[in-house]
Amino acid sequence: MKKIAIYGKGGIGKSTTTANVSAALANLGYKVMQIGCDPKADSTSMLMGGRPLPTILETLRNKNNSEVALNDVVFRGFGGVLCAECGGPTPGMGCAGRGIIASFEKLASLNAYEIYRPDVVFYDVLGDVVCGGFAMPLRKGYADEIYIVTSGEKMSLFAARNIARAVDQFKGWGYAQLKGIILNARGVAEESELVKRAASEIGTDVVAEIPRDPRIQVCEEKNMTVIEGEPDSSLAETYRRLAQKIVD
Amino acid sequence: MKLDDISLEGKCLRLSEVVEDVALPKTADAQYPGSHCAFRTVAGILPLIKNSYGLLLGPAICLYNAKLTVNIRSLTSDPRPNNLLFLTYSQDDIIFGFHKKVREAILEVDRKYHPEVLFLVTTCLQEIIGEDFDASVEEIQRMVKARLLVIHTDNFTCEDAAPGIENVFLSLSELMEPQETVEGSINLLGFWTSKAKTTELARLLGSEGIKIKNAIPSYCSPEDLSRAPGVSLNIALDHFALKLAKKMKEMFGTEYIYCERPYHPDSIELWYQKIADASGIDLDLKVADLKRETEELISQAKGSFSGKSCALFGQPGRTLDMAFLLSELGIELKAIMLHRLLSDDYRDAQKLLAEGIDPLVFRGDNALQTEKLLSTLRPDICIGCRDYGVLARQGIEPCMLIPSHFKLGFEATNEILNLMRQEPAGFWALRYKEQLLNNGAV
Ligand SMILES: Nc1ncnc2c1ncn2[C@@H]1O[C@H](COP(=O)(O)OP(=O)(O)OP(=O)(O)O)[C@@H](O)[C@H]1O
Ligand SMILES: [Mg+2]
Repeated sequence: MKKIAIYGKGGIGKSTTTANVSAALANLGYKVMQIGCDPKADSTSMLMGGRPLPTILETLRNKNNSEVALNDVVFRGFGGVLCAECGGPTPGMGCAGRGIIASFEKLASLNAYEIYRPDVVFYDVLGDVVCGGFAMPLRKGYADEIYIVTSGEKMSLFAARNIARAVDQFKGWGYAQLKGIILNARGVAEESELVKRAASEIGTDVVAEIPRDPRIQVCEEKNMTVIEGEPDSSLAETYRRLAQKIVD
Repeated sequence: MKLDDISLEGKCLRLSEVVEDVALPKTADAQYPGSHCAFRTVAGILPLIKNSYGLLLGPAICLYNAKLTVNIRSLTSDPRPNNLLFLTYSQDDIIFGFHKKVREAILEVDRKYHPEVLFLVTTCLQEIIGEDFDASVEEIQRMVKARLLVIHTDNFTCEDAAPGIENVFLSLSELMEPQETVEGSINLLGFWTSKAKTTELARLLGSEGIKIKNAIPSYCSPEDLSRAPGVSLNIALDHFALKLAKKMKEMFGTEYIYCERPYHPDSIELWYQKIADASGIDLDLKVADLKRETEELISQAKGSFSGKSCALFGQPGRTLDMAFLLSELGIELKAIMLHRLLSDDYRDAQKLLAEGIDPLVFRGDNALQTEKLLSTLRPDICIGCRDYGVLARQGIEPCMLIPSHFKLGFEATNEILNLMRQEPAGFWALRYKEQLLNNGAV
């Protein structure tokens, strides 16, 4: 089982990329699980045909904790991808970081990984790792590998470096390791070179270059990944190559 | 006396080594949740406001500790009514925020108990999460009759309960309204028990036509508080109350003086002088008579106390002035338990040092350390220590001064002299238990 956490600046395309890679892997015959770690709970929407999932935290809150079963919080989406959303509080209230921890603990206590035995698990984490809770996927026993999604934009690279630094700080804690950078292009001049240079400064590689492509919006409009909506496009092929690279 | 062989080295200072207005060195990081926990301390203060309830919000253990404090107090000679309600936080509340649960609780308390004032006391938990508790309470305020007052007690940001207690005093100013000043009336701020109006101070002021309008907190009602600014003078008796005095000066222009509770007759005389000057009256003759009586009692008491040694625990007001009184009785001061030296304490310290009295001062953050110190120093008497079990174990005589807190002026000192001759009720039982244990009982 490969457990992978996806980090990157807010709005940079983490959920889009993750959902497409999940879908691609599912089509390649892998059993995939995608866990949205964001109070917005929008990570898996493209895999679920736009249907909002009951989040783990809402379910825990509304039901007696001991009555919550795996199928209350994990749902099958496109290609059989197992989808779950942690959920969380309204912005500005409570403690979303604690929410991530509680959701992960619940999944573990329900033996989600042992029962579903996925080949690949993705944690799609919200923009900034602002507190310990959002580093939860990095912890021992959760993710083993990290990919950072970035464009060539300055602020996006800044965030990427920042996350890489945090990961570096956890060296020796047995936390997940940085496996590479996924360039999700925004059309910045010499974007590929910029991001490659940043990657080598951080000490990692660019594992995929995803072009900026309006097909994403077209498919998004239909609540689909590109893998589902435009399977024959070159973009779908790019996602499939990335997917293959991640599992190899 | 040697301290090198015990774990207290470096944690006890001599009085001469202490600097003004600096907290004494911390003696333990893991502190006994007594006077250091503002949440607990505040729980003990709220019962002093009439027609109020306190809603304490926090994890179960904090609530339990607060409840325990109030219950223990109910067994002392200064019991307080129980006006506390408790709301426990669960993990869900932490994740999703407290707002909804708190709103429901406030609405329920308002409906069931009709408090005039409802204090909402936070624990570290809310403060760490950083939810805007004040703003959410402001919104709820529109839905209830009770006046809602938020008391923050973020204990992890400080080493003692002072900020929490000060927050209670400051919150009381929110109940106050501008008033016409009634000449010849005063407020006592920082009087922590009932019966302020029967004190010697009240009698002396009354004899010159000056009335104590309010004693705060002293079981005053929200209505009393709303009218409290209409006095010609506020007398702040301790540094917590001083915050309120300053706030009232700022909000309503109410004049104030700061006169911490004194204990030595010379100090009491000066204390009365300061109050008389500020009130424009002359109390000299009456004070001189009272002083003479107290001095007489002191010289009589010397026979019973001279040559004994003692450890003194922090008292309301000027603890070091009490130390001076004790040394006047011929008692050797081995140690004083204090958290910090305030400016008045510093002056009193200089007075003690000038007499060659330089006891150990100790913060005692941890009950085991305090017991260790007592067992090392072996004083004959322990004044103001409430842990009688320890005293019985260590063979130290307890002296309980709570009834003197109801008094102000020479009468307080007279009461102390009286109480020093009495054994606290029930202490014999603890001593008997120790005897049995020493004789080999299980
Ligand atoms: N390669 C791309 N080409 C065109 N549009 C894209 C591309 N990648 C992502 N987008 C668009 O960017 C928007 C944000 O993407 P997404 O929601 O995946 O970002 P995110 O990093 O998950 O954001 P958040 O941090 O808020 O979770 C989406 O609406 C998507 O349509
Ligand atoms: Mg996202």
